[in-house]
This record gives sequence, structure tokens and C-alpha cells, in this order.
Amino acid sequence: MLFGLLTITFFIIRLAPGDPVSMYIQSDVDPEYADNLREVLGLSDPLPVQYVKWLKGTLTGELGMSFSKHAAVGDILLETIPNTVLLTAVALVFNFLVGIIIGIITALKRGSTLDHSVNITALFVYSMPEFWLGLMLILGVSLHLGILPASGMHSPMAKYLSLPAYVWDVVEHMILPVFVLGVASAAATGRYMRGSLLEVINQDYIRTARAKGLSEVLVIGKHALRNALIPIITLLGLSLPFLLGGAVIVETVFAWPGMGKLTIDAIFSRDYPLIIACTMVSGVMVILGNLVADLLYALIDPRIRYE
Amino acid sequence: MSSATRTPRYDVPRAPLARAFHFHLPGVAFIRRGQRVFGGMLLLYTLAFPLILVLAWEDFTRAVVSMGLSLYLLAVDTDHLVIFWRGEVIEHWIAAVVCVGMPILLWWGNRRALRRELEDRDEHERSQWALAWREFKKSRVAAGGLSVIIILYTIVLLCPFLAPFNPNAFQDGIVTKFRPPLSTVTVLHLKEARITPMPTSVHAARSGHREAIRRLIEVNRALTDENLAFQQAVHAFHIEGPDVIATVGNEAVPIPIARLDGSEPEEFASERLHLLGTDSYGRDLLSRIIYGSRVSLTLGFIAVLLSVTLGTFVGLMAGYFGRVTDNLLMRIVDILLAFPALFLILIIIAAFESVAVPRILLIVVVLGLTSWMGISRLVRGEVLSVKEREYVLAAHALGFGHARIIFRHILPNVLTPIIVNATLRIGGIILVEAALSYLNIGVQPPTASWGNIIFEGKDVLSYAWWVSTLPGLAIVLVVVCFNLVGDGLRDAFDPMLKNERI
Amino acid sequence: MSPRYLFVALLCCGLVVSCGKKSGEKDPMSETAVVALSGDADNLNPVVANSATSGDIQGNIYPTMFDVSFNTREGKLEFEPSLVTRWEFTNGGKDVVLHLRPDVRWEDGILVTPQDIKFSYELYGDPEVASPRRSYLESMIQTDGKFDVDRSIEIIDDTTMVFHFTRQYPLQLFHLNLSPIPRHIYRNADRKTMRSNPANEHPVGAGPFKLEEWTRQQQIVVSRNVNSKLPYPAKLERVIFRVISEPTTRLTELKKGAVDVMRPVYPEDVADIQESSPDIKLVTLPPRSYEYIGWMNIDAKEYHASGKKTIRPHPLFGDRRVRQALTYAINRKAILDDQLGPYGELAVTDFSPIFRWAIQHDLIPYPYDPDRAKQLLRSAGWSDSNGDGVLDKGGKNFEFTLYYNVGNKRREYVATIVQENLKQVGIKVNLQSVEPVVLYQNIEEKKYDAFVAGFSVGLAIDPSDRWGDINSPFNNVAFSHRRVSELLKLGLHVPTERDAGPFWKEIQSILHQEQPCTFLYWIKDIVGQNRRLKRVNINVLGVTDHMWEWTIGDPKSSVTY
Repeated sequence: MLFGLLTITFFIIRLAPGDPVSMYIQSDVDPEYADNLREVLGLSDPLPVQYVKWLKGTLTGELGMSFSKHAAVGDILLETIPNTVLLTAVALVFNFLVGIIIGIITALKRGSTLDHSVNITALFVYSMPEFWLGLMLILGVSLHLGILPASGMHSPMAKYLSLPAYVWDVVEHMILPVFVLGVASAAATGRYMRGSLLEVINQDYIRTARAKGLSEVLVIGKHALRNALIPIITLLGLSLPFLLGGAVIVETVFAWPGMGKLTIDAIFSRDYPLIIACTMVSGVMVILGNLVADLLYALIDPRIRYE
Repeated sequence: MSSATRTPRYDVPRAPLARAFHFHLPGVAFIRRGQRVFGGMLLLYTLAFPLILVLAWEDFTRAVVSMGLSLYLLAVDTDHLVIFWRGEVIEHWIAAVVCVGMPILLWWGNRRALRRELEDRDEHERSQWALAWREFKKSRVAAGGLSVIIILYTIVLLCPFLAPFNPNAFQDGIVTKFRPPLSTVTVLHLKEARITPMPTSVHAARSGHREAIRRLIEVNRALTDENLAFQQAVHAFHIEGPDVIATVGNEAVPIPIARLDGSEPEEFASERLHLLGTDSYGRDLLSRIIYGSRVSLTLGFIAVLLSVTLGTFVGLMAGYFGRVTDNLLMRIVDILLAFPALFLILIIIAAFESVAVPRILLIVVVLGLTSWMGISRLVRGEVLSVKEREYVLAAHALGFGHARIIFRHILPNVLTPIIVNATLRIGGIILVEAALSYLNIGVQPPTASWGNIIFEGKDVLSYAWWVSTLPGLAIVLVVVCFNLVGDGLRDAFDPMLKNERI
Repeated sequence: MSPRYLFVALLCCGLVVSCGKKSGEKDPMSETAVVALSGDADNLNPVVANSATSGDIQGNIYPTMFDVSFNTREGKLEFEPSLVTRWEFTNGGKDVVLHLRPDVRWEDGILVTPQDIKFSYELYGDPEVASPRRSYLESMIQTDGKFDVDRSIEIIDDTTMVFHFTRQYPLQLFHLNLSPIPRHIYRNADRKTMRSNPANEHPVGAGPFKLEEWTRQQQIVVSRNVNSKLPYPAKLERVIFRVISEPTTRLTELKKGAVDVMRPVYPEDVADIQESSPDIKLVTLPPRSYEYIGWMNIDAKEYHASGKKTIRPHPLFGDRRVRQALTYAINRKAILDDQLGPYGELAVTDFSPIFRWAIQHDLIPYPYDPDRAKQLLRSAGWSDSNGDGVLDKGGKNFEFTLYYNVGNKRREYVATIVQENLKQVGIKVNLQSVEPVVLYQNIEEKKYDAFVAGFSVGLAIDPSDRWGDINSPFNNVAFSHRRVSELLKLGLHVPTERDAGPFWKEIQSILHQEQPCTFLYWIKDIVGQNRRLKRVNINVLGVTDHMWEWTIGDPKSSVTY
């Protein structure tokens, strides 16, 4: 599956017009030196040969050199992946935590003013362009109120701070990007959760539980919630590609040093090895996310067992 | 629910005037039978067209003349296609036609519907669609969303008549740029155009239809002209002897009163209102948002159409033929789904950007081609359940061809989830277009799209908030409406689907 | 999901927060300056680095041969001793003898020797390395068209070396100012893969700063090199270069004081900054770069189809009258007023106003005069004969595509105005924005008929890279003029810079007459600087010039050091 993904990327990129070599040399350099450079970068071989070479390299963990960053792709990725993982993971947690809480509240208070206003807010949040929301927040929260940092992952001198101060520093920088990245999916999760919980509450066994005289907290918390959560788990796997795509935008807006920003730069500088590697990593992350979703499924729903 | 579907008989008014209103004014009949909101909106919508016609009468007559002359020329002499075969001219024709045609269409549809009702049809003849429509109308918000969408798409067709200014025209940027909403710009009216219009030798060169050609060129120029040539925007002005001293930026420019159109300030000066302010070039933001809706909304619509067609096709094939086809197609779908969609879009657009295809087309195609996977999964699922039904099995038994079974028997029965899904998707596509503009690979300026207006304004947010904020709100509004309509449709189709299963 | 766990988690968060607030260590920022960058550096090895960012940073890490400054009043470069203590010209100016400081050491303690310099020049001149600065060595001795390091550079003893040139010319010292890199580190490096040599990540320099950390896409941190003798260790403990690509964010950080130096500040933000942030000083730099609209002078299609042999005038822009008409038809003043205001000036030719002595002051910039433009176009045979509102000649419309780079607001503005202005005189312009990489490549390969671009001139006059002949590296419009070529040869072979004045002035007159491209305006870059940073000398050489002298003080204090 991953393999198919990579093949598609490779061919799209390589077949596109635009010569990456011209970036590195001035036009007064003789054509033969340009050819030489092209050879060093492995661009002069016929396409199928390039493909096989590249495939061999990828399978042995050799991702090649980045054209534009003048460094090994692996190293660059190692620097940026953790940042993106941190951002998306926290956004994912935010998404589900907030989404589930909203879902429970609106489901329990359905038909109330609270339910309606939350639903409407969720709808609007869900319909907002991410970059626009980000810009508005930078302008409002960071510039006018001056309470949160507008960009970056930590303050420039963070590494001289003590550990707790460092953590706090990163947390501070993370609030806005995580909010922007997670809030739309949280709104969606909330609506989904509401529906799911409502469906469960109307089922017979809940009625039975209530009839047994169990307290409302226990009924909802133990019986209803567990069953309502099952369909939400599917969302987990589905929302990951969505979040990673959103990360591209959010990282650009907030100058978050992650893979999304890197991918954009790579695409615009025609940095083939880097683009392909970024794509591969995002694909792997999505697949891993689905795997985690499957495992969680089994954990929550005792009917499913994997050998 | 079922009792509500019974159609009560309505009386038709006897008085001739009331009767005429009832049949010939869409909406009146609904108001009379108690559907006030719907009827009122329909009535207003219908009446809006003549109103626009009156307000844009000058442009309308020009468009009609232009259309007439062009048709005449087309009939007698095809050499002069270049004179009118231009986007700016044709968009005026469309607006003129819509302005007249739409109310007629509404009138005709309304009369037909009312006549049919009189013929007393039974409820079980009502189609699935009519039932859904009835169900849909019950949800106020969804209906509201739909009305907004209809209005917006009407605006798309009528934008040359609705936009107060040409969206791409600007001059005296130093005076007109970054005017906040509701502000005015002082303009001086000149006797002669600032730049003499370009002479053309075409009517001198050819005989025969010389006069018609001359008129057509004139009319088309009037249609597409920015009307700015006779205006000079100024910060302020005062009269000093025979001159008007105009303040433009930091400079004082003397203009002889003799060159102005009139001798008193009331005659030669006026205020130009910019309802939503102006952008960095001094272009009217309202006009740009109106024209931008054309790009954003049609782009969303066409891209979704493309993705739905492709997705449905793949889903039908996979679901109907099963086995190897199914495996192969669904594997491809899996691969593409594992890809964060934005990555794929970015890569394709960046890679094929320099190919000589208009960017807008490229974006539509790419957006269409990267968002069909969800639909094909959905359709496949539906097809799997439908293809075991008796009528499909019967069709097989009768020896019908695959094509006929797929398109006549299966497709109509999987259409509802497709429609719901497509509606929900348009909003998403509009958001993606905006995101692409943010990453600078959106629609090529100066053509306005909501995304690229936001992009243009993002660096000036701190002192010209309106440039980015207002089109952003427009996007939010549209996407909210599409989501509402999608939800409404789902709710409308759902109970019916359940009924069917029982 | 039990509430107990939630409580514990909350407690932990609270603990972390309170600790973070309490830690009252000495503020590490008191000895640190922060510079905002719009893009990351590509490489910190001066031999292969190409980005402006790299130049700003590596100039403070690697040793410089001379301490260069630009005399704004005179309009010329001045060279003071740095690694080179003194120098003399011999052999009629063809040979330059350099005397080096004996006591300069690389960070790892090894002495900087003439061998290092020779080795570095060998790398700069090696075609396999393909250094962007290879052309600097063109006037040294060449063998078989390649730079001959052994015949060009002669080492006399441990502190003396001689560079042999083929001629005397004004730029000799400028071309001798390439930063050396340590030979003992790069001696065995593979030349072809110089760009990705792992040693580039950990530069060993001898300048006032040393690289402390380089996190890609985030920041580059340089700190004081305590052993530096060139000229002395930096006064600041540390300078951080942060990569912030989003302009709004960058400006926000400057206003909040999280960034001390930022370039460029856009003219439209100036009023706002002056009003809301008294702590920020805005420095306007002299104009070094201009923007222009390139009109392809030759028929590029024919040219490429014939293997760069057939040179015929371009069907649209080949005629001088047409090019003049285009300049008349474009309201350059309006663009300037709207976009730059006081931070720009109308460009007459591409000779920067900073070289006052070389400027031909008699030339009057073309005014905005669409009627004159129409006249000229008519005299060149263009008229609207089919009534579509577009000029035509011989059945072909005057229509072309104007290319500009994506994301550059000002050039987009230029393109939009050009489209509007030319529409008035009956020329149809289609706009197309292109990613910078693709744009520059196609411009250099002469594939675009019309484009908006910019150019930053060097600090010594050398127009030969633009107007030498059709194949000159930056002659992107393929302009050629016999007299200009002659004048260039004359101007570049005078003993001192000033002697070339008359030749440069004549070239300007010709360029003004010919309008090979429409010169728009010179740009005076604005740099925003927090007043807490003292002794900052931001000048035409760059933001980080003499960065080792920077200190940090109270923003309110008006003490000048």
C-alpha cells in the first residue's frame, strides 16, 4: 500500500517540468558542469533506472540527499518529524477530549439552549478556513492581547531554561496551533459523539440499567459511554490524514518547524528526495494511526479479538 | 408523518385580480395557504429580478443591443467574431438573459405546479423526491441554508449587474487604496477622458456592415469600460482662482476648472461609496467579493461534479462486478486515502503548474481527481446491498446488459446518499481552494476568488482588517449553508429510506 | 477516564506550570540578539553557499580577508586590514602582494596559513565544485579555459602571498575578498559533493562568532568566539537567527520585542510601527536593488530552435520604438508612490544612485504619457484593424504573457498595473505567476518574452554581466549593442574606478534611449531594529555587517557609544 503511494508520488514529481539543477549554478557555468551536477544528483539516468535506484535506496533506509538543504534527507526528517508528531498528537488528543466532552454535554442536554448554541458554534468553526482562523487568532490573541507567542515552537533561548520552564515554554507556544488544528475536528467529533450517544441511550439495555435503579452517572459513564465510543474510534483513523493535511497550513501560519512546512518548501524548490520522503512519512503515520485505531477498537469492544 | 403528506384542497380565488396574482405571481399561492415564509421568499426572489433590471437598466439595454448586433453580424458576416467573442461581453449577455428568463421560468413553473394541483393527484403518485422535499422544507435552518445558496448562485450569474464597480478596475491607487468599509472617495468629474480611447480602423476598412460594426464596438466598449476615465480621485480639493487644487497623496495638483465637468463643486465633484471598502489597489471590495463568488462557487460545484462522477463510476464498477475489479479498485482507493489529500493536491499542482493550462482549470481537475475516493467507497457499499434486491435479480434474469442494469436499475437507487455526500463536499472544496490560495497556488490574480482576496489581505491585517476578514466571512457563510443543506437532505432522505426497508 | 487519573494529570500540569513561572534565573536574553529571517540558510560553507541568508551568517563565522565598508558619500568600496594586514600592487597592477596576520587561528587552534587561502581559492575555481562565485577568478590566470591555481597564486612565506591577474582593473581587491575555509578539514573532501559535505554543518571558522546550533527551519545560533582575532571576539554572547516565513507573524514578533532585527519591513507597515512601537528604530538603506520589466529583444523561439544561432528581432519587442512606447505607457510613478513612497526612487537605468560619481544626471525619466505611447506604436506599424480593442500588425495581435514570481506582492502589483495600463493603449497582457525556482530558470534561459524581475547590483560597478553580449549571465532580455560592448571593455580596463566615469555615463545614455527593459524603481530597504540593541551598523553591506560590535542596553537610554 505504502509502495503504491510512493510510486505515484515519484512519477508525478519526476514527470513534471522544471529543472532542479539550475538552482545551484549560475547560468555562466558551462553546460558540462551542469551535466556533471545532474549526474551527481542522479537526474541524468532514464526514468525507470532512477525509479529502481531510488526504490533500492528507500528499502535500505537510504533516503538520499536533499537538493535544497544540502543535507541527508534522513537527518532533516529526524529533526522535523518529532515536532509534527507532537503537534498532531496533541491536536488529536484535544480533538477527542473536547469533542467527546461536547458530545456528552449536548447529548445529555439535548434540545436545550446550550445544545443549540454549541451546535451552531461547532458548525461555524467547522466551516472556517484554518489559515484564516489562525491569522485572526494571531492578530487578536497574540498581537492585541499580547498573551501568547505568535510563532515558533519555543522561545529562542529555550534550551537554557530549566526543564519545567522549558516544558511550559513549549506548551505556551503550542496552544494556538493546537487549537487551530484541532478545533474543526473537535467540532465534527462532538457532533458525531452526540449522535452516537443519543442512539445508545435509547437502547433497551440502558433502559434496563435505569430501571434497575442505577444512578444516572453510572448509567451514562459506564454503560452508555463505552458503547457510544466505539464508532468514535473509527474517526480516529479517519481524522489523521485530515490533521496532517491541516498541519501543512497551520505550520506555515505559526512557523512551526515541522514536516508540513518542510514539505511546502520542498515542493517549491523541486527537492524530489525530500518530497518523496515527506510523503512516505505521512503515509506511514496514517497507516500507523489506523493500526492504533484497530487496537483501540479491540480494547474497547470486547466482541472484537485479534489473534 | 404520513398524515401530513395528504394534500388538502385549496380554493382558487374568484376575484379576477386575486386570481391573476394567485396564478401569475410565484409565491402568492403559498402565502395564501399559510406557508408564509416560503411563499414570501419566493415572491421576493421573483420580484428581485425586475428590480435589478430597473437598477441596471443602462447596462441591460446595452447588453441587449450588443447581443442583437452580434447575432446580426454572426448571420451576415462571420469575420467579426473577435469583436464580441470576449468573456467580459458574454457575461453581460448571460446576466441579461438570466434577468429576463429567470422570472419567466419561475412564473411558468409556478403556474404549471398550481394547475397540476388542481387536477387532483393522489399522494401515492408523489415521487420519492417530492417526499424528501416536503421533509426537507420542515427544517427551517436547512431551508434557510438552501435559500442562501440559491441566492448566491443567482448572484454568480448576475454579477455584472450587481457589482457596483468593475472588480479589476482601479486608478489613483494612492487615494483610493485601503478605504475602510462604508467610506467614500471624493472624485472630480472631467470633461474629457484622461486617456483618449484607442482608435480603431475596422469600420473604415470594410464596407457593408460598417455601421453595425461601429455600433457594436461602441456598445461593447461601454459595457466593459470601467467608467473611470472621466474621474479623478482626490483626497481633498479647494478652489483657487481658475484652478481646482486637488490633494493627491502629498502633492497638490492644479486642475483648471475649464477641464472639469461643470463649474461648481456640486457639479464636478461627487462621493463614490465603497460599501465594503477597498483593497491595496483601490479596487472595490464588494465588487471583488461578488465576482469572487463566481470563481469560488463554480469551482466548488464543478470539482464536486467531477469527483462525484468519477467516484460513482468507480464505486459502481467495484460494487457491481466484484471480485478482481473490486479488489483492484478498492486497493487504489485505500492507497489514495492514506495520503493526506492536501499533500497530493500540492504535489500535483506544483508539478504541473508550468504546463500551459489555465490555473483555474488545473485546480478544478486536481480537486476533482483527489476527492472521489470517499464517494466510491460509499457507492460501492450501497451497490453491494442493492444488487441483491429482487428487481435487480429480475433484470438479470431477463437478460439485460450490464450497462442497462447499472444505469437503469442500480444507479437511481444509490443516488440519494451520493447527493447528500456531494452537498457536504462542496463546502470542503471551497475551503481547500482558499487554502491553496493561501499557499499561493490558487487562482491566478487579478481574477478574484475568495481565497486570493484573503491572501492579498493577510499581510495588511493589522491596519486593513476588512480585506481578509470579509471574504473569510463569506466563505464561512457559504460553507455553513452547504453543511446545513447537506444535513437537512440527509435527515430528509433518511426516514424514507427506513420506511422503504420495513 | 477515571476522575482520579484526571486529577493527577491536572496536578502534574499545575506543578510544571508553577515551576516554570518560579525559575528566576538570569534572563538569558540579556546577552542575546535575535534576527528574523524569512528563509533558512542553504549552506554555511562560503564556497558553495548561495542564499543571502548564508552570506549574512557565514561572514561572521569565517575569516574575512579585508574589512570592507562602503563609503556612501564617495560611492565606493573601501578596504581595511583584516586577515590581510597590508597589500601592494606590483607588475603594473597585475600582481597583488598580500601580507597576512601570523596569529590568526581556526576555532580548533590550528593557524590560518596561506595554504588555507590557496586551497580555498582552488575550490572556488574548481568547476567540479561549481561555486556560485567562480566568476570572481576569471581575471586570474587561466589554462585551457580553467582557473589555474598554481600559476595564479604564489606563496612566498608563511605570511606573504602573491596573486597574479591577467590585467589591472578596479575590482581586484573585491575579488580577493573570498572567505577562506580550513584546509585541514576539507583537504580530502570529495569535490563533486562539496555541497553536502557533513563538515558544512559544523563550520570551523576564525571570525568573531562561531556556530553553536543550527536547527533547520527554526534557528541558527551563533555565539561569541572567544579566541577570535578578527578583529576581536564578539561583544554579544550570542545572536540567534530565527526563520519566520509568514510576514504577519514576523512583524508581530518584532513589535513584541521577541525579534530585534528584521528585514525587510514593508513601507506600508512603517506608519503603524512608528506609532505603536517607539522601541523600534527603522533604518533605511541606500538603494542597491531595482526592479524592471524585461522585454525579450530577440526572437527567442527562433533563437532556441536554431540552437542559439539565429538572432532576429523579437516580433513585438524587437523595435526600439515599441520598447519606448511601453515605458511611456506604464505609470511607473503611480507604482512607486503606491508601493514604496519615500522608500524608493524612479530608475532611469540600472546604474545605482549610490555611485554618484558615475551617474549621468542629464537623463530625464520617461514620463507617463499614453498618447505618446500610442503615437510611437502607430509609427511602428501597430493599429487596431479588427475592432477587438487590441492592436495588431500583419494579422497578429499585440498580446503577450507577463510572468512574475508567486508570493511577491510588489511584483504582483506591478504586473497588475502593467496589465491595466497597457490595456489603455491596446495591448493585451495575460498575467502568470510562477514559483521562483521555475521563474528564474526560465528567465535565465531566455524563455520568457516579458517578465517582472529584480536585480541587486554589486558594490563595485560592473555592468558586463548584464550588457556584455547576448550570452552574458544576466542579460536576460538578450540586448546587444555594439557601442555598449566597446564602452564596457574601456570602462573595465581603467586603472582606478573613477576613470571609468565617462564610459559609464555614455552607456546610461544608450540604455535610456534603447530601453532594453523598462526600469521601474530603486528600492531602499527598511530594516526594523529594536533600540535595546546598540552600536548596530546596518548599512548597504547588509544587516549583519560588523555584528561583532553589537551590544545590548536599555532601550530607553539614549547613550551612544
